[in-house]
Amino acid sequence: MEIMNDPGTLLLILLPLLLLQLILLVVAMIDLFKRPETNGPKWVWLLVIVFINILGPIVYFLWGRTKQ
Amino acid sequence: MRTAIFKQEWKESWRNKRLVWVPVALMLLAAMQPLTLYFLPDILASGGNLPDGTVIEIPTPTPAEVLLSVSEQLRQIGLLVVLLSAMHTFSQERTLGTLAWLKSLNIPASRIVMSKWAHYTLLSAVSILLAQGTAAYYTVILFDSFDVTDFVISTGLLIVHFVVQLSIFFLFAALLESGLVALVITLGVHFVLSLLLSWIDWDWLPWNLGGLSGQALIEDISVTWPLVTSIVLIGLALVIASKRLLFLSRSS
Repeated sequence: MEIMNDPGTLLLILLPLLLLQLILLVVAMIDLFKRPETNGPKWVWLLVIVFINILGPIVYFLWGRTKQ
Repeated sequence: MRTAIFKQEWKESWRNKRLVWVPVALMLLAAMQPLTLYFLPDILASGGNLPDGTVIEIPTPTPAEVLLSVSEQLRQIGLLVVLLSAMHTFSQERTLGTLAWLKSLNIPASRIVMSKWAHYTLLSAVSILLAQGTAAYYTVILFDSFDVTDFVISTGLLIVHFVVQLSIFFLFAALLESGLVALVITLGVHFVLSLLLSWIDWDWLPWNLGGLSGQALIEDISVTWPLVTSIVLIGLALVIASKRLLFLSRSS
């Protein structure tokens, strides 16, 4: 793929993706640390958020928090 | 005071982080499609157990085709994400007693329903705009430029499609005890009708809007009747939801 040889274009492709992922990750972690109680052990959710790309934080937002 | 609940919804959404993660999730979803299509030959070449020297010829999709697949993706997974984020809307407030409390303050049910509906409508509209913007960005970088008018029409139809589905969901969420059941019904009706509509020629049904938002990118379409029936359906759903809003949990 000829685009891969052009660092400028590569940056244009990767930067927004990384930024969006970072937002998800950071927001999920802020929420996790502020929350007194989660749906299951906190450290498991931390692993899920950090190690599962994109889907991890989303799953946490949907099911990780207690009903409150 | 009329907009107090509406404003409260936004505050709650911000605290909940829903305001952040729903748009970001849809944007990532929209970005994935052009990227996958662009790198598909590489992915196939590195993933499959193909003998050396295999030549895979995949025609490069046109920008319109790329945007079409983004629209499909948003309609399936994107809709699921938005509805899941809205799942607890009435059911949770019913269990917590918030709805009963609002009723004791003599706040009309229509105002409660409308505030929540308006909140989710705006949230999903903005999310789709951002997602489509991301898709357009990647399509231009990886593929080529495209017809902007078609794209705007497609985006508009996609938003109306989401609003229709949200309204149906809110109708069932107001009537039924469980948000999950309301979600399953909404998606079930959506699925069954999408299947039916591929056989039957009921062009005027609101459920056509999703497909039309894709077709708008590649051909001329007429959307008058689906739009009219959509507006009627949204109106009906909101009126019935307001009239029949279940304030108290049946079990309590």
